[in-house]
Amino acid sequence: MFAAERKRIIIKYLLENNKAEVVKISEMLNVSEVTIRRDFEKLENEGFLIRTHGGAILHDPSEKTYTKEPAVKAAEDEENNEIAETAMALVKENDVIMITSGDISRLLAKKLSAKNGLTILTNDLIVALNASAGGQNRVICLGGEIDQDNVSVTGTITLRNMQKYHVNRVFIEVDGISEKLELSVSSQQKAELIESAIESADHATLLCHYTLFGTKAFMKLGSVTMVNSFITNPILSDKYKAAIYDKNVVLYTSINAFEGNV
Amino acid sequence: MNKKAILEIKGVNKSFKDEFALSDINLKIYSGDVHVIMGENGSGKSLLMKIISGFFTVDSGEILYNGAVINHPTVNKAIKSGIYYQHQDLPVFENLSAAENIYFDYRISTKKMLKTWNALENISECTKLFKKLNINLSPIKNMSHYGFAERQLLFAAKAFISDAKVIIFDEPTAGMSEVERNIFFDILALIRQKAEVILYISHRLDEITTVGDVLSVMEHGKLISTNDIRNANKQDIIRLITGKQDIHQFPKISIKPNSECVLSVKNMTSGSILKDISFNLHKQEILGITGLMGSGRTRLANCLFGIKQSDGGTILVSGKKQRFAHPLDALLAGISLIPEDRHTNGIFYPLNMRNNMTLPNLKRFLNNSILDDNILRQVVNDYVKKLGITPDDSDNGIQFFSGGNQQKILLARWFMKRSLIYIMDEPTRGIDIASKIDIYNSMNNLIVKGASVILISSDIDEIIGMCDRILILADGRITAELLQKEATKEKIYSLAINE
Repeated sequence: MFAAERKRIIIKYLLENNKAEVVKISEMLNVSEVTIRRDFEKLENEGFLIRTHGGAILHDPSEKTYTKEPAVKAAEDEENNEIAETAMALVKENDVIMITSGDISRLLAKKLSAKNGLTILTNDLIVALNASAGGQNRVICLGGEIDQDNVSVTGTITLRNMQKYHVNRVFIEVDGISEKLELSVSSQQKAELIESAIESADHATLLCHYTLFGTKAFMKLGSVTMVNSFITNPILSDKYKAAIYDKNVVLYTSINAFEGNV
Repeated sequence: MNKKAILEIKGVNKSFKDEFALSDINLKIYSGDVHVIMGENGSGKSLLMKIISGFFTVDSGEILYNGAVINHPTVNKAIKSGIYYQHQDLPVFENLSAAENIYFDYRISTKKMLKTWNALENISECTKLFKKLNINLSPIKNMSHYGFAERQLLFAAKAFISDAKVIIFDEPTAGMSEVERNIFFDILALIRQKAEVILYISHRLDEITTVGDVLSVMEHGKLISTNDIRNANKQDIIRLITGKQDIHQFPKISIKPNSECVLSVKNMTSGSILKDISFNLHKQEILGITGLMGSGRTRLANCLFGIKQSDGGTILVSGKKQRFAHPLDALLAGISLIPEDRHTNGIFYPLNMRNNMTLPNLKRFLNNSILDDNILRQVVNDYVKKLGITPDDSDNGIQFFSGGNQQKILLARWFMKRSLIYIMDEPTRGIDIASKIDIYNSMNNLIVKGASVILISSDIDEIIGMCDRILILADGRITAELLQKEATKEKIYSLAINE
C-alpha cells in the first residue's frame, strides 16, 4: 500500500473517531506498527494530529483557548484526560456523585455521559451539560448566583441547596497544594463550596494535575487529610507520593501505560 | 524471678540505599529463653539476626552482649564471643564430607603443633555425635548428597558442638518432614541445656507453642510486640501476629465482576509440591494467592509460565487447552510473569535500561527486517514517562536504578508485550513506598484496560487491599477462597497455617 493511500485512510479514520490506536490501524491496514508510527509522526508535523502513548488524537484547531505552547498544552490535556479516566473507573453503577468546578471535572463529566444509571449533582454548568449529553444519567444542577468567569453557580443559595443532598462520592479540584500538603483555592466562595461538598459526601476524591504540587493559592482550605483519596499523575515526585501515603490518604496515580492485549 | 538480659538491642537502625530497613528496634533477650521471632517475609527478621551475628553493622543504636557493647563486630568476633548463627541458606562446602563440614571450625588435629586434620578421629567423633543426636546420616558422604532439610539437621549438630552461648536458627524446619522435625526438636532440647539463649525464626505456629517462651513480632522493619507465650494457645498467638491492623489503605479499583473466564486451572499437580490445584481467573480481576513459605506459591507461578512442568491437570487460556513446555509457550498464549527474584530472573545487568525494557518486544520495532531504533526510543520514552521511572535517561545502565525503579522497568517490559494475563510474584517486596504505590496503580491500569492479574504475595495487607478474590495455599493445596470484603488478616493467617 502506498504511503499516500495510508495517509488518506488514517485521516478519514481520525476525523470519524477523533482518536486512533497504532495497533488497530496497523491491523486494519496490515502494515507494521513502526510504519504507522512513522505516518503519525509525519501527520503530527503537518499539525493534523497529536501523538499520544500508543496512538494519536485529532488536533482540533478550533480550540483557540490556549496561551501555552501547543505542545505543552497537548501534554497537559493528555495528563488531565488520564486523571479523568482513572476517576471514571472509580465510579460504580447507580452511584450518586457530586462534581464541582474544574477542567478535569469537565473532562470527567464528558466521560460519564457514556455511562448510565448515575445521579450526578453539580454546580458547574459545563459539567451539567457534559454529563447529561448521553441522556442516560440523571443530572441535577444546583441553583445560585451565576459566576460568569467560571461558568458555574456559587453563593449562599448554592450552599443551602447543596446541604439538602447526600452523595456517595464527591470529586473536587483545588488551585494549590503546598509542600506541607495544605490545600488552597482561589476564592472564599470556592472554599466554602468545597467544604460543604465534602461534608455531604461519604467519600471525597481530589483530582489534581501534578504541577499543582508545591504551589499556593489565596484561600487556605485545610490539610490534605480532609479528602479520602487523591488522583494525580504518576510523574509526581516520590517525595510527595510517600508524604501522601504517610498521611493515610489513598493515592491513585493515573498510570496509563498498558496498551491493551493483542 | 530475676532474670539476666544476655542480649540487649537498643534503638537499632539500619537501611540499604532506599531498600527496606530496620527502624528503632529495642529488644531484651533473657537468659534461658527460647525467643521466637515471627513476621512476614521481608519484615527484617533475618537482617536483625545477621546484625547480631556480625554480618552487618548498624547505622545507629547499640547491641549489648552480657552488658558490654559489641557494635560492629566481625563475624569471626561474634563466633568467638559465643554467637552461632545458622543461616536459612546454609553456607556449606559441597565437596567436603558431612563430618568435615560440621567440624570445620572445631578441627581435631593429629599433633598440637602442626594442626593437621585428623580425618579418622574426626569421623569417629562425628559418628558418636550422630548417635547421640539420633541423626541417621552418613558422616563420610559429601555434603552435595544432602538436601535442604538434612543440611539443617547436620548444622544443628554443628550448633550443638559449638558450645556457643547464643544460638540463632533462621527457619530451620521450613523444608523438613515430620520425622526430621522431631529429630531437630530433640537436638534443640539438648542445645537448650547448654546454651543460654536460643533465637528462633519460624513461620510455623505449632512449633512456636511447643518450643517458644517469648514471641516477638516484626512488621516492615519494626518490632511490633514482644510477649511471653509460655501459657498461650494457638488462637492467642494468631491474635498477637495479626494484632496491629495496618491502617493504610490501598488504591484499589474494582471492575464489576465479569463472568468471562480467561484462565482455568484444573487438578494441576507438580512434583510433591503442588497437589490438585484448581481455580479460575476472571477477566479484569485481580486474584490474590497467598500462603506461608514453602506452600507452593512460586512453584504455582512457575508452572503457569512454563518454567516448571506440571505433572498432571489441565490449563485453559480463554477456553483453549494449553500445554506449557517452555516460557515461550506461555508468552504466546498471552501470559506474562514478573518473577519473585528480579535480580536473577528478571534483570540483565550488563544492559542499559532501554534494552532491558525492549528485549522480549523487539518484534514490534521491526521495519523491513531492520530494527527501527528511532521508534524504539520513542516508545521507551513513552513508557518511562507513563510509569514515572526516574532517572528518565534510557541510556543508563540498569544497575544505576533503585530497586523500585528496576521493578517498574520490568513492569514496562511486560506491559509492552501486551499480554492477557499478568502473574506478579512478590512485586513489591523490598521496594520503596512511592514505587509500591505506582505498582498498585499499574495493576489497576491493567484491569481497566481488560487484562487480568494474579498477585502472589506474602504481604497480607497488600493481598487484602488489592485483590478482588483471594486463594490461600497451604502445603501445596488451595485450602480456601475468600472475597475481598470477607477477608481479614486473622482469617487468612489461620487458613494459611492450616491446622
